[in-house]
Order: sequence, then C-alpha cells, then structure tokens
Amino acid sequence: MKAEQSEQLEILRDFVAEGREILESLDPSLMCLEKQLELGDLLDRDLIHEIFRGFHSIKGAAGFLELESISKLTHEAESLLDLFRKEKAELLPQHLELFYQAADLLGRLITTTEETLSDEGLEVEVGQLVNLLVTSMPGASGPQVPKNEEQVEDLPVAELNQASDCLNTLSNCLWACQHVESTAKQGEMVNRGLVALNEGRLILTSLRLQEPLEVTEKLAAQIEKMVRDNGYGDRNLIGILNHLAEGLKHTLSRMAEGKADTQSIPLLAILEDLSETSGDRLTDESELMFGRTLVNLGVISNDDLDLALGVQEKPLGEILLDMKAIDRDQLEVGLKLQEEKKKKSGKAKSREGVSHSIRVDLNKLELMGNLVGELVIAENMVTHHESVNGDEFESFHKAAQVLNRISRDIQDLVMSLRMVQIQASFQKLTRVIRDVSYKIGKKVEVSLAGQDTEIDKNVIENLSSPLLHLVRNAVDHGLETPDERAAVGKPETGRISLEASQEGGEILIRIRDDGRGIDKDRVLEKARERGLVTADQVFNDDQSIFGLIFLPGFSTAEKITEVSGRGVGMDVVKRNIEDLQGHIGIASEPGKGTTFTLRIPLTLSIIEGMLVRIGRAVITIPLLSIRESIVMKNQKITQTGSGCETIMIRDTLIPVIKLAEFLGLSGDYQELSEGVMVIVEYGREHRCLFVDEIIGQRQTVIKRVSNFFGDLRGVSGFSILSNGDITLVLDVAQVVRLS
Amino acid sequence: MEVVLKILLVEDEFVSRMKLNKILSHFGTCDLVTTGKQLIEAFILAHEEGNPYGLISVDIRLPDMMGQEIVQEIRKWEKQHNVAVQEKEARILMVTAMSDGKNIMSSFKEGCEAYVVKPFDLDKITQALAKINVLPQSR
Repeated sequence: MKAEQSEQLEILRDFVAEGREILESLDPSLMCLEKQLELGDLLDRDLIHEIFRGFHSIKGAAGFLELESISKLTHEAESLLDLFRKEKAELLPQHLELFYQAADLLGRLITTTEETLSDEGLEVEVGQLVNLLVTSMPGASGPQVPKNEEQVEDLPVAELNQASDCLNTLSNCLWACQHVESTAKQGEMVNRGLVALNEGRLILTSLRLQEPLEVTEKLAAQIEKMVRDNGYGDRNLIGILNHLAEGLKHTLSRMAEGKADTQSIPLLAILEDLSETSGDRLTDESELMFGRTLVNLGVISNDDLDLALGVQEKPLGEILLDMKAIDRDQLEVGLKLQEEKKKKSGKAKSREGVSHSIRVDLNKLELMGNLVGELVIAENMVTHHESVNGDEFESFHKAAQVLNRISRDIQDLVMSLRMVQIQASFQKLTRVIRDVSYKIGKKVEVSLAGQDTEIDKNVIENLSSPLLHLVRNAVDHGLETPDERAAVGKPETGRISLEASQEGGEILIRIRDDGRGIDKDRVLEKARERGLVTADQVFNDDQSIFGLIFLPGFSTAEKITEVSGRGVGMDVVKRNIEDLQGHIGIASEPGKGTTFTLRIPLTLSIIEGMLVRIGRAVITIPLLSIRESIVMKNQKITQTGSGCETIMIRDTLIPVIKLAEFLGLSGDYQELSEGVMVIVEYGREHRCLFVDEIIGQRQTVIKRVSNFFGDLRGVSGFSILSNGDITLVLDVAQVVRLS
Repeated sequence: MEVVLKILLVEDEFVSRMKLNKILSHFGTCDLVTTGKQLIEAFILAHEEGNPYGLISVDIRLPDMMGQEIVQEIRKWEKQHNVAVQEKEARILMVTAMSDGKNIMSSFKEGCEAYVVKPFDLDKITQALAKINVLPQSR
C-alpha cells in the first residue's frame, strides 16, 4: 500500500514538472499567434496544433490521475482549439485571451496539485472560465451568418443565448456540486443552479418554445426532488442532470445560431421515443452519450445504470471462462514467447534513454556548489601551504598546477549547471507587459535581445520580482496613452525593449521604453512634498534627482492604479538588487523615454578578489570594482577644507579613504606615499583605498555575514584563506557611500 | 446504420494479446499486430484505404520500438497528412506494465489519450475508454 502511494506521489510530481514545462511553452506560442492576428498574417496552423497538443497532453495525464478540475478546463480549452485547428472557425483575439486565462488558471491548479496533491479548491474559478470557453465557441454566439437561410421565423437570439447561459451556470453548479465534499456547499451549489434554471425557464416560457421548456421542467423537477431528498451524494444522478443541462444548452445555442430549428432537436426525439437511442440522428458521439443519459433520466435512472453495469460485468465473466479454457499448448507457446521477450527486453531497455536531459533537484546542485567551493579552498590550502612554499619542490608545483586547473574546471562546470538562460524570464515579462497594456488600454510592442544570456538560477529567481516591477512601471508610467502619443507625433504603439548581455563578471539588463521620460521637476516637487528632501536642498545633476525615486515612500502616480503606484516599489526594487550585490541606474530623456540598467554579478557565491594587507589583517577587495592600483610617487595630495585628502590622477580628483581607519584597524603606514593605493569604482564614483600591501589575487568563496554580527560597516562577507585564516570581503558600494 | 469502431492493437506477448483482443472486441472490431513496425504499416495502410483506425492500443515495451516512439510516429504522420481536418485522428490507448511517472508522462506528452497499467481487465479498460468517450458497442 505504501509503495503504491509513493508511486502515485512520484507520478504526481512528474505531472507537475511536465505540466509546468508545457505551460511555459504555451505562452510564447500564444503570443506569436497574437502577433500574427494583429498583423493580419496567415495564422500558423502548426502553432495552433502545438497549443492544442499542449492542452491535450495535460488533459490526458490529468484524466489518468483523476484531477477533475484540470481535466475539465483542458477539455474545454482543447475543444475550442480543435475548431480552429480543423479550420471550422476563425480564431479571434478574445479567444486568445481565454487561452491565456486558461494557461494561468492551469498554472494555479498545478501549483495546488503540487501542494495538496489534489486540484480541488478552485472549482468556482474553473467553472467560470469553462463557462466562458463554452460560450465563446464560435457557433454559440458567433458573428457568422447562419448557414440555414430559409429561417422561417426570426428567433430571438439574445434571449436564447441568455437561456443557454443560465443552463451553463446550472451545469457548472452541478459540476461543482459533484466535486465539493461538504453537504452544505453542495446544497448551496444546487440551489444556485436551480435559481439559474428557473431564470432560464422564464425566458423559455416567454419564448414559447415548447420542447426545450418541457425538458427544462423535467430537469427542474428532478433537481427539486433531489433537494427534497437531500441526496446530493448521488454523483451519478448529478452527472446525468449535468449532461442533460449541457445538452439543452448546446441545443439552445445552436438554435440561437439558426442552425437547428425546434423540429430537429434530438431532445424531442428522445422524449418522444425513450426506448430508442435514435442513433442515426445522433451521429456525434457526445450526443450519443447525452442520448443515453437522457434515456436514463426518462426511465428510472437506477435501473438503467444497473443494466449498464450488467453489460460490463457479463463479458468479464466470459473472459475469466476463456482464460481457463486456454489449453496447455497455448500456454506453453505463451510462456516461450515471454521468455523470448525477456531476452529481447535487454535491447529495449537501452532505448529507454529517449531524452538527453534529466531533472535534478536544485538542492543537490546547491550542495554540490558548496562542496566545490570547499574543494577550491582546500586546494588553495594545499598548494599554497607554507611548508611547500619555495622553489625546491618543482614537481610538486607542477602537480599542484594540474590540481588547480582541474578544480577550476569543476568549479566552472558546476557554475554552468546552475546557469539558466534569461529567456524564460523575459518571456514571462513579455506576457506581463501584454496583460498590463491590455488592461490599461495602451499599445505596446516588445523587443527582446540577448535572451540566451545565462545567469545563475538563484540570481534570476531573486531578480524576477524587481524586473516585474520595473516592467509594469514602464508600461503604466513610462508609456503614454495612444492619444497622447499621437498628439506629440509618436507612433501610437509604444516600444519596450528588454536586453541582456554579459560584461565581464556581470550581467547587464536594460529595460528601455520610448515613453514620456522622467519629469525631473515633478520628481523634485513630489520629494519635497513628501518631506523626503528639504526645500533648500539643491540638486544639480540628473542622477541624484532620479535617485530620489528609490527613496521609500516615493510615488509620482497621480492616482493609484491597479497595475502599479502604491508608493512601495522602487525602494524595494533597489533593495532587492542591492541584495544581489547589483546596481541599478536610470537614464531618462524627457519625451524620449527611460532606460533602467541593472548590473548584476553572474553569481553570488564565488568572486575573484584581490587580497590586501592592513597591519595583520587581510582584506579581500572584489576584483570587479578595482580599476587600478598605484604606488604613490609624486602625485599631488590635496587637503580639502573638511580635512579629507584627495589625490590627482590623470586630471581627476579622487578622495582617499584610509581603510585602516575606516575599518578600525591599525595599519603599518600613515604616510600615503609609503603604502599602496587601490582605486575602486562604484557606479560613477571613484575612491582611493589606502592599504599597506597587495598580497595577490585569489578566487574565493564568500560566506555571508551572519545576523548575530549586527551591522558590519563595509563588509559583505567572509572567506577562508589558504592558510586557514579568515579574510573580510570588502563591500565597496558601502564604503563609497559611507565615506 | 451503426458505425463500428475500428481498433488496432499491438502486443507482442500471446496471452495478453488474446485477452486484450477479447476485451477490446466489446468496443469494435480488432486487428492484431505484434510489432511496432507492423502497427505503423497497418495504420498507414488503413489511411490509404480511406478507412483509418479509430482506436489504437499500444504497449510500451515492444521488441522493436518503444510505445512512445510509436505514438510519436502516428501523430507525426497524422500531422503531415492533415488528418485532423477530416476528424480522423486515432485515439491511442497505452496498455503497459510500466507504471512510473516518466513513462506515463512521456506517453501523454507524445499524444496518447488514455493509459492503463497492467494487469488489465475489462473494468480498467472500460473506465479508461469511457474517459475518452469510447463506449461499448451495443449489439
């Protein structure tokens, strides 16, 4: 039993992973279709086919695992897609919107499945969307001209559709009733369905449609009887009622379309002659099934059900009989065949490796990354061990070099395992842009560049929320409305581009819009209004004004919209990015647009650092932020009014920070000319860090600062040196800011 | 006029083949083959004759092909020949002893409709087929 359960669990897990993968591939296909639709291009049938297959696969698997909500949703989405796939109907933008919604809801359902091992809990949402999917079937209320031109009388299409909607609600309520556990909820659902049905009955009465009305009344009577008996537990009965409601609904919507006049309603035929399935009229299989359920309803349902069960059971007995009847010869042949198969199965096994990739738990990768980090340290410890430092062990140093090379290779490999392309994130963002622009009525064209840039999985996960925010802002605040754009002579469709590239050990991500740009005066005004800056504070460069946006509590949006603008945000964005040791910059030109540039280190765990000595302490300065190192000769040292020393290097004045003082250490030298200057850069600011000596360059694994150290000024972490000593890793950003 | 469902089944093991034949005969008329290659030939031939199979039952572990490969081939052929438009796509049922998630999910991914884990009986098959709207043929 236990083994079975764990097996089931494993299948569910695989389903979740597989489902996510399929869903991820749906979005780009949908967006591609949408673009073709917009441009009026010929729709790519392969794309429709692909989306269809996606839903189809999920449906199949969900059916197997008895995930009802997922099955139902994918079924309807698939049926709708089927029409387009078979070129029976034209795909319209509103259909695409529904597929987007379906994909989203499926994502939620799959998450629910992952967490609770069942897809229950979202019945209402599923019901609503299924409702929409069904009613949007071309034919339900499509704009097509009815094919049947000899319509005797004008059928009131609107009312018919209304009635069909009512029945749809009923069907959904019944379906929900089948899938909730508590009797109270079931009662609620049935009652809600009954209300809808009565509404439909009223409409039908007013239309004087005899036959559908008859069915409706029968249906109502059955449901009322069920309510009286409180027998919500009979899922079969509810299922049959549900089928009936659905059938009636389809008939009504077909009538609304003018495709079926009342005479050809199969319902009528069934009511007239209950004992016959009238197979020739019901060629469609679903209708056949519907017919059967009707028969069941018309007669006493349980009888027929038993009969049906009997039909199933009898052949089973036959089979068993047959199985016994197999004679010895046949059995022997069978056994021989089986033996042969066993021999061959070895061959078949080798073919099982169909796929060339395997899924690996991220935790395992993480663990491996840590271990490799330790390996690098250990390797450093050995090869730089003081007892082997010297020239006398030449062969040892050769061997050490090999070890060093291999461990670096392993390190690179492990790092690359954790790297993922930024493409998936960009696609999600594109989708967000689309949704947001749709919601607020702006036209946006998105262009992507450098999607194949690879970035650490952890980094990208932490990056997704700030990126999302920036992108939303770009659409909501950055871009103007189509009218505004037209007024200033820009094309109505705004442009947002997402670009990624790698520069050295950093990933550069740019989010560029061609909107109105940041209004510096407004920003300043707002910041003063909110008391974020004092009235007499003067800003003479753009950067520091833009920087105000990142202050907590700053928001320029006039009104709070659904999309963005609650005054939390940009400060959080900045904090998120700084948590990643990254940097965010703004460039903006009024009327031309805004560009946000994010610089993020490729990985968080390993850095190239320069080791410097101050007194007895060894400090690691991240190599990325070092521009140059110099020994003071005859550079000019200037004392500013506030007592700060600056040196002139190639016509720029750079302030000097004595690291010993800054970190509260005692250095060997006081005179600037005696030690070494390391010039570091953060953003656009430069500082000279005054240290005693440069030891060398090392790749180090950073260990984060634990909370119990409190607030450590200018330190981003620790690292272990080859001799086992501990070194502080300097947080250049903080040093620059605090000085 | 009742249209009888055409069924094609592949199973390399004799007893299972007979048993499956017996069970599936409740749903239509069965043709039997023993290898993946034969199955694909029969599938294409039926299409060429204009009377394709409505249901195809596939085993995962066959001497010459994996079940998933067969499904892939069938779907590929159907797509190339635009079978969808004529509503003549086959429904595919996997009947196999493989009960692990990888096999199940990859089968559905390639495009099968239903999956039954061996040992099978009439109940199991009926349940699986009912989900995809294949019902026992009434006499």
